[in-house]
Amino acid sequence: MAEEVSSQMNSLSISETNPSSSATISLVSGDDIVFKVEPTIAKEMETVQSFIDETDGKITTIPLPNISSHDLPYVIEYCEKSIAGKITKEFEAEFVKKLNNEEVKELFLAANYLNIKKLLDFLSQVIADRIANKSVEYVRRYFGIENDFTPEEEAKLREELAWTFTGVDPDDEDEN
Amino acid sequence: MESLQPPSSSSVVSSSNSNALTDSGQRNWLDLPRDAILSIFVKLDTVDLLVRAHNVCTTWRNISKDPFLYRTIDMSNLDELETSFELMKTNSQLEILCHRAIDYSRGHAIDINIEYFGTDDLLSHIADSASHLRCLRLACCYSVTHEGLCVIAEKLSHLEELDITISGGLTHDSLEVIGRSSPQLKTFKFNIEVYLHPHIVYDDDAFAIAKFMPGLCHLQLIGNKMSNDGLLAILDGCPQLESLDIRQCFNINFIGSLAKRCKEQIKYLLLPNDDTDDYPFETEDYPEDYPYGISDIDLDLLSEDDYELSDGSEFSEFEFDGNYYDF
Repeated sequence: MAEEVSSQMNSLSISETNPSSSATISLVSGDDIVFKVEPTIAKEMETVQSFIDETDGKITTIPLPNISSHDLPYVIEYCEKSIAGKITKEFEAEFVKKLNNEEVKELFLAANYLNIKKLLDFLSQVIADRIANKSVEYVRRYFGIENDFTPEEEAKLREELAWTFTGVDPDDEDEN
Repeated sequence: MESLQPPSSSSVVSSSNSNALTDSGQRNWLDLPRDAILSIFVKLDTVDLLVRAHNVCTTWRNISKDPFLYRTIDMSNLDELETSFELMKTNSQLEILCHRAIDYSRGHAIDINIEYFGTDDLLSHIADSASHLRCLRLACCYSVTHEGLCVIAEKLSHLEELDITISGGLTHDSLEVIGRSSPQLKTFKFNIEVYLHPHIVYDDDAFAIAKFMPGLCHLQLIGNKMSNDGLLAILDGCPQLESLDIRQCFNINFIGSLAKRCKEQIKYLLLPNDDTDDYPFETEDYPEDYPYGISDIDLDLLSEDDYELSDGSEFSEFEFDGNYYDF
Protein backbone atom coordinates (compact mmCIF):
# COMPACT_ATOMS: atom_id res chain seq x y z
CA MET A 1 0.00 0.00 0.00
CA ALA A 2 1.28 3.44 -0.84
CA GLU A 3 2.59 5.64 1.84
CA GLU A 4 0.03 8.23 2.70
CA VAL A 5 1.28 11.67 3.43
CA SER A 6 -0.91 14.59 4.23
CA SER A 7 -0.73 17.06 1.49
CA GLN A 8 1.27 20.11 2.26
CA MET A 9 0.41 21.82 -0.95
CA ASN A 10 -2.57 22.82 -2.88
CA SER A 11 -3.35 19.84 -5.07
CA LEU A 12 -4.18 22.02 -8.02
CA SER A 13 -0.79 23.67 -8.12
CA ILE A 14 1.97 21.86 -9.89
CA SER A 15 5.32 21.95 -8.21
CA GLU A 16 8.35 21.81 -10.39
CA THR A 17 11.15 19.67 -9.07
CA ASN A 18 14.38 18.49 -10.49
CA PRO A 19 13.72 15.02 -11.87
CA SER A 20 17.15 13.74 -10.83
CA SER A 21 16.53 14.57 -7.21
CA SER A 22 13.14 12.92 -7.04
CA ALA A 23 12.74 9.24 -7.79
CA THR A 24 9.10 9.03 -6.80
CA ILE A 25 5.96 10.43 -8.30
CA SER A 26 3.44 12.16 -6.08
CA LEU A 27 -0.19 11.47 -6.90
CA VAL A 28 -2.56 13.90 -5.23
CA SER A 29 -6.08 12.68 -4.68
CA GLY A 30 -9.16 14.82 -5.05
CA ASP A 31 -9.27 15.30 -1.28
CA ASP A 32 -5.66 16.47 -1.19
CA ILE A 33 -3.89 13.38 0.05
CA VAL A 34 -0.49 12.73 -1.50
CA PHE A 35 0.49 9.20 -2.48
CA LYS A 36 4.12 8.70 -3.35
CA VAL A 37 4.62 5.95 -5.89
CA GLU A 38 7.48 4.53 -7.90
CA PRO A 39 7.79 5.76 -11.49
CA THR A 40 7.00 2.23 -12.67
CA ILE A 41 3.54 2.58 -11.10
CA ALA A 42 3.01 5.82 -12.96
CA LYS A 43 3.90 4.05 -16.18
CA GLU A 44 0.90 1.77 -15.68
CA MET A 45 -1.30 4.86 -15.62
CA GLU A 46 -1.12 6.12 -19.17
CA THR A 47 -2.80 9.38 -18.36
CA VAL A 48 -0.24 10.13 -15.65
CA GLN A 49 2.69 8.95 -17.73
CA SER A 50 1.77 11.06 -20.72
CA PHE A 51 1.44 14.03 -18.38
CA ILE A 52 4.98 13.38 -17.11
CA ASP A 53 6.28 12.86 -20.64
CA GLU A 54 4.73 16.08 -21.89
CA THR A 55 6.71 18.01 -19.29
CA ASP A 56 9.94 16.09 -19.94
CA GLY A 57 9.80 14.57 -16.48
CA LYS A 58 10.10 17.90 -14.73
CA ILE A 59 6.74 17.56 -13.11
CA THR A 60 6.44 14.74 -10.63
CA THR A 61 3.43 15.86 -8.65
CA ILE A 62 0.23 14.96 -10.42
CA PRO A 63 -3.15 16.19 -9.24
CA LEU A 64 -5.91 13.64 -9.74
CA PRO A 65 -8.99 15.63 -8.77
CA ASN A 66 -11.40 12.90 -9.87
CA ILE A 67 -10.00 10.19 -7.64
CA SER A 68 -10.54 10.08 -3.91
CA SER A 69 -8.04 8.97 -1.31
CA HIS A 70 -10.37 6.08 -0.60
CA ASP A 71 -10.06 4.67 -4.13
CA LEU A 72 -6.50 5.55 -5.11
CA PRO A 73 -4.86 2.91 -2.85
CA TYR A 74 -6.86 0.19 -4.60
CA VAL A 75 -5.67 1.45 -7.97
CA ILE A 76 -2.07 1.57 -6.77
CA GLU A 77 -2.34 -1.91 -5.26
CA TYR A 78 -3.58 -3.32 -8.56
CA CYS A 79 -0.80 -1.58 -10.50
CA GLU A 80 1.83 -2.90 -8.09
CA LYS A 81 0.56 -6.46 -8.56
CA SER A 82 0.44 -5.93 -12.29
CA ILE A 83 4.06 -4.81 -12.44
CA ALA A 84 5.10 -7.76 -10.31
CA GLY A 85 3.28 -10.05 -12.73
CA LYS A 86 1.09 -11.27 -9.91
CA ILE A 87 -2.36 -10.65 -11.32
CA THR A 88 -3.99 -14.03 -10.87
CA LYS A 89 -7.61 -15.11 -10.88
CA GLU A 90 -7.32 -15.60 -7.13
CA PHE A 91 -5.94 -12.11 -6.58
CA GLU A 92 -8.68 -10.59 -8.72
CA ALA A 93 -11.37 -12.55 -6.90
CA GLU A 94 -10.03 -11.36 -3.53
CA PHE A 95 -9.63 -7.83 -4.85
CA VAL A 96 -13.21 -7.54 -6.02
CA LYS A 97 -14.55 -9.21 -2.89
CA LYS A 98 -13.34 -6.23 -0.89
CA LEU A 99 -15.34 -3.82 -3.02
CA ASN A 100 -18.97 -2.88 -2.78
CA ASN A 101 -20.95 -1.86 -5.84
CA GLU A 102 -20.21 1.80 -5.37
CA GLU A 103 -16.49 1.17 -5.09
CA VAL A 104 -16.49 -0.98 -8.20
CA LYS A 105 -18.06 1.89 -10.08
CA GLU A 106 -15.60 4.42 -8.64
CA LEU A 107 -12.61 2.26 -9.51
CA PHE A 108 -13.90 1.68 -13.00
CA LEU A 109 -14.18 5.41 -13.50
CA ALA A 110 -10.70 5.87 -12.03
CA ALA A 111 -9.24 3.19 -14.29
CA ASN A 112 -10.92 4.81 -17.25
CA TYR A 113 -9.67 8.25 -16.28
CA LEU A 114 -6.12 7.02 -15.65
CA ASN A 115 -6.29 4.76 -18.71
CA ILE A 116 -5.02 1.62 -16.98
CA LYS A 117 -5.90 -0.99 -19.55
CA LYS A 118 -5.65 -4.14 -17.45
CA LEU A 119 -7.64 -2.72 -14.57
CA LEU A 120 -10.24 -1.31 -16.96
CA ASP A 121 -10.56 -4.65 -18.68
CA PHE A 122 -10.88 -6.51 -15.40
CA LEU A 123 -13.47 -4.13 -13.96
CA SER A 124 -15.40 -4.14 -17.24
CA GLN A 125 -15.84 -7.86 -16.77
CA VAL A 126 -16.82 -7.45 -13.14
CA ILE A 127 -19.48 -4.91 -14.08
CA ALA A 128 -20.67 -6.95 -17.06
CA ASP A 129 -21.14 -9.90 -14.72
CA ARG A 130 -23.40 -7.69 -12.61
CA ILE A 131 -25.55 -6.83 -15.62
CA ALA A 132 -25.75 -10.31 -17.12
CA ASN A 133 -29.09 -12.00 -16.63
CA LYS A 134 -30.40 -9.29 -14.30
CA SER A 135 -33.60 -7.34 -14.72
CA VAL A 136 -33.43 -4.04 -16.55
CA GLU A 137 -34.74 -2.37 -13.40
CA TYR A 138 -31.86 -3.77 -11.41
CA VAL A 139 -29.34 -2.52 -13.95
CA ARG A 140 -30.86 0.95 -13.85
CA ARG A 141 -30.69 0.98 -10.07
CA TYR A 142 -27.13 -0.32 -10.02
CA PHE A 143 -25.93 2.37 -12.39
CA GLY A 144 -28.22 5.07 -11.07
CA ILE A 145 -29.70 5.59 -14.52
CA GLU A 146 -33.16 7.07 -15.04
CA ASN A 147 -35.51 5.34 -17.42
CA ASP A 148 -35.92 7.98 -20.11
CA PHE A 149 -38.03 6.01 -22.55
CA THR A 150 -41.43 7.35 -23.41
CA PRO A 151 -44.39 5.38 -22.06
CA GLU A 152 -45.07 4.28 -25.64
CA GLU A 153 -41.52 2.98 -26.07
CA GLU A 154 -41.70 1.24 -22.72
CA ALA A 155 -45.00 -0.44 -23.55
CA LYS A 156 -43.70 -1.62 -26.91
CA LEU A 157 -40.61 -2.95 -25.25
CA ARG A 158 -42.55 -4.90 -22.67
CA GLU A 159 -44.82 -6.40 -25.23
CA GLU A 160 -42.02 -7.34 -27.56
CA LEU A 161 -39.76 -8.88 -24.99
CA ALA A 162 -42.16 -10.02 -22.31
CA TRP A 163 -40.20 -13.22 -21.83
CA THR A 164 -37.05 -11.36 -20.86
CA PHE A 165 -38.71 -9.69 -17.92
CA THR A 166 -39.19 -12.98 -16.18
CA GLY A 167 -36.74 -15.70 -15.38
CA VAL A 168 -33.87 -13.37 -14.59
CA ASP A 169 -31.66 -13.76 -11.56
CA PRO A 170 -33.15 -12.36 -8.39
CA ASP A 171 -31.89 -8.84 -7.88
CA ASP A 172 -28.98 -8.66 -5.49
CA GLU A 173 -29.44 -6.48 -2.50
CA ASP A 174 -27.34 -3.41 -2.97
CA GLU A 175 -24.23 -3.93 -0.94
CA ASN A 176 -23.71 -0.34 0.05
CA MET B 1 -11.48 -10.28 -28.48
CA GLU B 2 -9.73 -7.24 -29.75
CA SER B 3 -9.12 -4.52 -27.26
CA LEU B 4 -10.95 -1.31 -27.59
CA GLN B 5 -9.26 1.74 -28.90
CA PRO B 6 -8.26 3.61 -25.76
CA PRO B 7 -9.31 7.19 -25.52
CA SER B 8 -6.40 9.48 -26.22
CA SER B 9 -4.83 10.65 -23.02
CA SER B 10 -5.21 14.30 -23.85
CA SER B 11 -8.94 13.98 -24.32
CA VAL B 12 -9.27 12.15 -21.04
CA VAL B 13 -7.44 14.85 -19.19
CA SER B 14 -9.32 17.64 -20.85
CA SER B 15 -12.70 16.02 -20.24
CA SER B 16 -11.92 15.32 -16.62
CA ASN B 17 -14.25 17.94 -15.28
CA SER B 18 -17.31 16.16 -16.61
CA ASN B 19 -16.43 13.17 -14.50
CA ALA B 20 -15.78 15.12 -11.35
CA LEU B 21 -17.55 14.23 -8.19
CA THR B 22 -20.90 15.87 -7.85
CA ASP B 23 -21.95 17.55 -4.65
CA SER B 24 -23.59 14.36 -3.45
CA GLY B 25 -20.42 12.37 -4.01
CA GLN B 26 -22.04 10.34 -6.80
CA ARG B 27 -20.76 10.21 -10.33
CA ASN B 28 -23.02 10.10 -13.28
CA TRP B 29 -22.51 6.93 -15.30
CA LEU B 30 -24.00 8.53 -18.35
CA ASP B 31 -21.07 10.95 -18.44
CA LEU B 32 -18.70 8.10 -19.14
CA PRO B 33 -17.03 8.17 -22.51
CA ARG B 34 -18.64 5.92 -25.06
CA ASP B 35 -15.46 3.80 -25.21
CA ALA B 36 -15.67 3.03 -21.50
CA ILE B 37 -19.27 1.88 -21.80
CA LEU B 38 -18.30 -0.16 -24.83
CA SER B 39 -15.57 -1.85 -22.82
CA ILE B 40 -18.30 -3.13 -20.50
CA PHE B 41 -20.76 -3.97 -23.24
CA VAL B 42 -18.23 -5.98 -25.19
CA LYS B 43 -18.09 -8.38 -22.24
CA LEU B 44 -21.82 -9.07 -22.43
CA ASP B 45 -23.19 -11.87 -24.52
CA THR B 46 -25.50 -11.05 -27.37
CA VAL B 47 -28.73 -11.71 -25.49
CA ASP B 48 -27.69 -9.54 -22.52
CA LEU B 49 -26.80 -6.77 -24.92
CA LEU B 50 -30.09 -6.90 -26.76
CA VAL B 51 -32.49 -7.35 -23.88
CA ARG B 52 -30.69 -5.56 -21.04
CA ALA B 53 -28.15 -2.95 -22.16
CA HIS B 54 -30.46 -2.06 -25.05
CA ASN B 55 -33.40 -1.32 -22.77
CA VAL B 56 -31.89 0.63 -19.90
CA CYS B 57 -32.01 4.14 -21.36
CA THR B 58 -31.71 6.03 -24.61
CA THR B 59 -27.96 6.58 -24.31
CA TRP B 60 -27.25 2.93 -23.62
CA ARG B 61 -29.60 1.89 -26.39
CA ASN B 62 -27.62 3.95 -28.87
CA ILE B 63 -24.31 2.57 -27.66
CA SER B 64 -25.64 -0.98 -27.66
CA LYS B 65 -26.18 -0.70 -31.42
CA ASP B 66 -22.46 -0.27 -32.11
CA PRO B 67 -21.42 -2.70 -34.87
CA PHE B 68 -18.24 -3.41 -32.92
CA LEU B 69 -20.34 -5.33 -30.38
CA TYR B 70 -21.76 -7.70 -32.98
CA ARG B 71 -18.68 -8.99 -34.70
CA THR B 72 -19.30 -12.08 -32.62
CA ILE B 73 -22.95 -13.01 -32.27
CA ASP B 74 -23.15 -15.81 -29.74
CA MET B 75 -26.61 -17.09 -29.01
CA SER B 76 -25.71 -20.51 -27.73
CA ASN B 77 -25.98 -22.08 -24.31
CA LEU B 78 -29.46 -20.79 -23.76
CA ASP B 79 -30.49 -23.90 -21.90
CA GLU B 80 -32.00 -21.92 -19.08
CA LEU B 81 -34.34 -20.28 -21.51
CA GLU B 82 -35.20 -23.62 -22.98
CA THR B 83 -36.47 -24.90 -19.70
CA SER B 84 -37.95 -21.69 -18.39
CA PHE B 85 -40.14 -20.74 -21.27
CA GLU B 86 -42.41 -22.16 -23.80
CA LEU B 87 -39.95 -23.42 -26.35
CA MET B 88 -41.52 -22.31 -29.60
CA LYS B 89 -42.28 -18.85 -28.39
CA THR B 90 -38.80 -18.42 -27.03
CA ASN B 91 -37.25 -19.64 -30.24
CA SER B 92 -39.18 -17.16 -32.33
CA GLN B 93 -38.15 -14.37 -29.93
CA LEU B 94 -34.55 -15.46 -30.17
CA GLU B 95 -34.80 -15.44 -33.92
CA ILE B 96 -36.08 -11.85 -33.83
CA LEU B 97 -33.20 -10.90 -31.56
CA CYS B 98 -30.68 -12.60 -33.80
CA HIS B 99 -32.11 -10.75 -36.80
CA ARG B 100 -31.60 -7.53 -34.89
CA ALA B 101 -28.03 -8.42 -33.90
CA ILE B 102 -27.22 -9.11 -37.53
CA ASP B 103 -28.74 -5.76 -38.54
CA TYR B 104 -26.70 -3.92 -35.90
CA SER B 105 -23.52 -5.64 -37.07
CA ARG B 106 -23.85 -3.73 -40.37
CA GLY B 107 -22.08 -6.45 -42.24
CA HIS B 108 -19.20 -6.74 -39.78
CA ALA B 109 -20.21 -10.01 -38.14
CA ILE B 110 -17.42 -12.54 -38.45
CA ASP B 111 -18.58 -15.22 -36.03
CA ILE B 112 -22.18 -16.35 -35.51
CA ASN B 113 -23.19 -19.11 -33.14
CA ILE B 114 -26.79 -20.28 -33.02
CA GLU B 115 -28.39 -23.10 -31.10
CA TYR B 116 -31.88 -24.51 -31.69
CA PHE B 117 -33.67 -21.51 -33.18
CA GLY B 118 -31.97 -21.26 -36.57
CA THR B 119 -34.27 -21.31 -39.60
CA ASP B 120 -33.85 -20.99 -43.36
CA ASP B 121 -35.20 -17.46 -43.09
CA LEU B 122 -32.56 -16.52 -40.54
CA LEU B 123 -29.84 -18.12 -42.63
CA SER B 124 -30.99 -16.14 -45.61
CA HIS B 125 -30.74 -12.95 -43.56
CA ILE B 126 -27.24 -13.91 -42.47
CA ALA B 127 -26.23 -14.61 -46.05
CA ASP B 128 -27.55 -11.25 -47.23
CA SER B 129 -26.08 -9.22 -44.36
CA ALA B 130 -22.90 -10.89 -43.17
CA SER B 131 -20.75 -11.22 -46.22
CA HIS B 132 -17.55 -11.24 -44.17
CA LEU B 133 -18.65 -14.12 -41.98
CA ARG B 134 -15.77 -16.47 -41.28
CA CYS B 135 -17.22 -18.75 -38.65
CA LEU B 136 -20.74 -20.15 -38.39
CA ARG B 137 -22.12 -22.64 -35.91
CA LEU B 138 -25.62 -24.07 -36.18
CA ALA B 139 -26.29 -26.55 -33.42
CA CYS B 140 -29.54 -28.47 -33.21
CA CYS B 141 -31.15 -26.19 -35.79
CA TYR B 142 -33.66 -28.76 -36.94
CA SER B 143 -35.56 -26.26 -39.10
CA VAL B 144 -32.63 -25.64 -41.40
CA THR B 145 -33.05 -27.42 -44.70
CA HIS B 146 -30.74 -28.40 -47.51
CA GLU B 147 -32.18 -25.63 -49.69
CA GLY B 148 -31.70 -23.06 -46.96
CA LEU B 149 -28.10 -24.04 -46.55
CA CYS B 150 -27.51 -23.82 -50.30
CA VAL B 151 -28.55 -20.17 -50.19
CA ILE B 152 -26.22 -19.28 -47.35
CA ALA B 153 -23.29 -21.32 -48.64
CA GLU B 154 -23.32 -19.60 -52.02
CA LYS B 155 -23.15 -16.17 -50.44
CA LEU B 156 -20.62 -16.92 -47.74
CA SER B 157 -17.52 -17.63 -49.70
CA HIS B 158 -15.32 -16.29 -46.85
CA LEU B 159 -16.44 -19.05 -44.51
CA GLU B 160 -13.46 -20.72 -42.87
CA GLU B 161 -15.21 -22.59 -40.11
CA LEU B 162 -18.59 -24.30 -40.20
CA ASP B 163 -20.12 -26.35 -37.43
CA ILE B 164 -23.37 -28.16 -38.14
CA THR B 165 -23.93 -30.22 -35.07
CA ILE B 166 -27.12 -32.27 -35.18
CA SER B 167 -29.17 -31.04 -38.08
CA GLY B 168 -32.57 -32.09 -39.31
CA GLY B 169 -32.52 -31.87 -43.06
CA LEU B 170 -28.94 -31.80 -44.24
CA THR B 171 -27.45 -34.58 -46.32
CA HIS B 172 -24.28 -35.42 -48.18
CA ASP B 173 -25.64 -33.23 -50.99
CA SER B 174 -25.49 -30.31 -48.57
CA LEU B 175 -21.86 -31.10 -47.93
CA GLU B 176 -21.13 -30.92 -51.65
CA VAL B 177 -22.76 -27.49 -51.88
CA ILE B 178 -20.83 -26.24 -48.86
CA GLY B 179 -17.56 -27.57 -50.21
CA ARG B 180 -18.07 -26.03 -53.63
CA SER B 181 -19.15 -22.61 -52.29
CA SER B 182 -16.66 -22.22 -49.48
CA PRO B 183 -13.21 -22.94 -50.89
CA GLN B 184 -11.55 -21.41 -47.81
CA LEU B 185 -13.22 -23.80 -45.41
CA LYS B 186 -10.58 -25.04 -42.96
CA THR B 187 -12.67 -26.39 -40.12
CA PHE B 188 -15.78 -28.47 -40.56
CA LYS B 189 -17.91 -30.17 -37.95
CA PHE B 190 -20.82 -32.35 -38.93
CA ASN B 191 -21.89 -34.23 -35.87
CA ILE B 192 -25.04 -36.33 -35.78
CA GLU B 193 -27.14 -38.20 -33.30
CA VAL B 194 -25.16 -41.21 -32.27
CA TYR B 195 -28.10 -43.37 -31.35
CA LEU B 196 -29.80 -43.30 -34.75
CA HIS B 197 -29.44 -46.51 -36.79
CA PRO B 198 -26.31 -47.60 -35.00
CA HIS B 199 -25.31 -50.44 -37.29
CA ILE B 200 -26.12 -48.97 -40.71
CA VAL B 201 -23.01 -48.15 -42.66
CA TYR B 202 -23.22 -44.88 -44.53
CA ASP B 203 -20.16 -43.50 -46.27
CA ASP B 204 -21.68 -40.80 -48.48
CA ASP B 205 -20.94 -37.97 -46.00
CA ALA B 206 -17.31 -39.01 -45.85
CA PHE B 207 -17.07 -39.36 -49.62
CA ALA B 208 -18.58 -35.89 -50.12
CA ILE B 209 -16.12 -34.38 -47.64
CA ALA B 210 -13.21 -36.15 -49.32
CA LYS B 211 -14.24 -34.95 -52.74
CA PHE B 212 -15.43 -31.40 -52.11
CA MET B 213 -13.51 -30.18 -49.06
CA PRO B 214 -9.90 -30.89 -49.93
CA GLY B 215 -8.52 -27.94 -47.96
CA LEU B 216 -9.78 -29.02 -44.56
CA CYS B 217 -7.38 -28.87 -41.62
CA HIS B 218 -9.81 -29.79 -38.86
CA LEU B 219 -12.68 -32.23 -39.13
CA GLN B 220 -15.12 -33.43 -36.50
CA LEU B 221 -17.63 -36.14 -37.35
CA ILE B 222 -18.97 -37.37 -34.04
CA GLY B 223 -21.47 -40.19 -34.47
CA ASN B 224 -20.95 -40.54 -38.22
CA LYS B 225 -21.91 -43.91 -39.71
CA MET B 226 -18.94 -44.16 -42.04
CA SER B 227 -16.89 -47.30 -42.38
CA ASN B 228 -13.20 -47.72 -43.02
CA ASP B 229 -13.83 -46.89 -46.67
CA GLY B 230 -15.17 -43.48 -45.73
CA LEU B 231 -12.29 -42.78 -43.40
CA LEU B 232 -9.77 -43.82 -46.01
CA ALA B 233 -11.41 -41.55 -48.57
CA ILE B 234 -11.10 -38.62 -46.14
CA LEU B 235 -7.43 -39.36 -45.53
CA ASP B 236 -6.85 -39.43 -49.28
CA GLY B 237 -9.05 -36.44 -50.11
CA CYS B 238 -7.95 -34.06 -47.35
CA PRO B 239 -4.15 -34.14 -47.29
CA GLN B 240 -3.87 -31.06 -45.05
CA LEU B 241 -5.95 -32.58 -42.29
CA GLU B 242 -4.28 -32.01 -38.91
CA SER B 243 -7.01 -32.93 -36.50
CA LEU B 244 -9.70 -35.53 -36.87
CA ASP B 245 -12.43 -36.40 -34.39
CA ILE B 246 -14.25 -39.64 -35.16
CA ARG B 247 -15.61 -40.27 -31.71
CA GLN B 248 -18.72 -42.43 -31.62
CA CYS B 249 -18.15 -43.57 -35.22
CA PHE B 250 -18.72 -47.17 -34.29
CA ASN B 251 -18.69 -48.52 -37.83
CA ILE B 252 -15.00 -47.82 -38.15
CA ASN B 253 -12.74 -50.73 -37.45
CA PHE B 254 -9.74 -48.83 -36.26
CA ILE B 255 -6.91 -51.29 -36.67
CA GLY B 256 -4.18 -52.37 -38.99
CA SER B 257 -2.83 -50.25 -41.80
CA LEU B 258 -5.68 -47.77 -41.58
CA ALA B 259 -4.94 -47.07 -37.93
CA LYS B 260 -1.25 -46.78 -38.68
CA ARG B 261 -1.84 -44.37 -41.52
CA CYS B 262 -4.25 -42.28 -39.45
CA LYS B 263 -1.70 -41.97 -36.75
CA GLU B 264 0.99 -40.94 -39.19
CA GLN B 265 -1.10 -38.42 -41.09
CA ILE B 266 -3.19 -36.86 -38.32
CA LYS B 267 -1.64 -34.85 -35.53
CA TYR B 268 -4.62 -34.71 -33.20
CA LEU B 269 -6.80 -37.77 -33.40
CA LEU B 270 -9.86 -38.68 -31.35
CA LEU B 271 -11.06 -42.25 -31.76
CA PRO B 272 -14.53 -43.85 -31.73
CA ASN B 273 -14.66 -44.72 -28.07
CA ASP B 274 -12.67 -41.82 -26.70
CA ASP B 275 -14.21 -39.77 -23.94
CA THR B 276 -16.99 -37.36 -24.99
CA ASP B 277 -17.28 -35.31 -21.81
CA ASP B 278 -16.49 -32.11 -23.67
CA TYR B 279 -19.30 -32.72 -26.16
CA PRO B 280 -22.53 -31.15 -24.92
CA PHE B 281 -24.95 -33.38 -26.78
CA GLU B 282 -26.10 -36.90 -26.22
CA THR B 283 -23.63 -39.70 -26.81
CA GLU B 284 -23.60 -43.41 -26.18
CA ASP B 285 -21.44 -45.54 -24.04
CA TYR B 286 -19.41 -47.96 -25.97
CA PRO B 287 -21.96 -50.46 -27.29
CA GLU B 288 -21.79 -53.89 -25.75
CA ASP B 289 -22.28 -55.77 -28.97
CA TYR B 290 -19.78 -53.71 -30.85
CA PRO B 291 -16.84 -55.80 -31.98
CA TYR B 292 -14.14 -53.23 -32.48
CA GLY B 293 -13.23 -52.27 -28.98
CA ILE B 294 -9.55 -51.91 -29.56
CA SER B 295 -8.84 -48.28 -30.11
CA ASP B 296 -7.47 -47.99 -26.61
CA ILE B 297 -4.71 -50.35 -27.54
CA ASP B 298 -1.46 -48.66 -28.32
CA LEU B 299 -1.46 -48.34 -32.07
CA ASP B 300 2.19 -49.18 -32.19
CA LEU B 301 1.33 -52.67 -31.15
CA LEU B 302 -0.94 -53.17 -34.09
CA SER B 303 0.12 -54.38 -37.46
CA GLU B 304 -1.74 -55.67 -40.47
CA ASP B 305 -1.60 -59.15 -39.02
CA ASP B 306 -3.36 -58.19 -35.86
CA TYR B 307 -6.70 -57.33 -37.30
CA GLU B 308 -8.32 -60.65 -36.64
CA LEU B 309 -9.92 -60.12 -33.32
CA SER B 310 -9.17 -62.67 -30.72
CA ASP B 311 -12.74 -62.76 -29.53
CA GLY B 312 -13.79 -64.19 -32.90
CA SER B 313 -16.55 -61.66 -33.21
CA GLU B 314 -19.29 -62.57 -35.59
CA PHE B 315 -19.15 -59.09 -37.04
CA SER B 316 -15.63 -59.37 -38.32
CA GLU B 317 -16.57 -61.21 -41.49
CA PHE B 318 -18.73 -58.33 -42.65
CA GLU B 319 -15.91 -55.91 -42.36
CA PHE B 320 -12.71 -57.51 -43.36
CA ASP B 321 -13.64 -59.14 -46.64
CA GLY B 322 -14.65 -55.75 -47.92
CA ASN B 323 -18.33 -56.59 -48.29
CA TYR B 324 -20.51 -54.55 -46.04
CA TYR B 325 -23.50 -55.79 -44.28
CA ASP B 326 -26.34 -55.32 -46.68
CA PHE B 327 -29.39 -53.82 -45.06
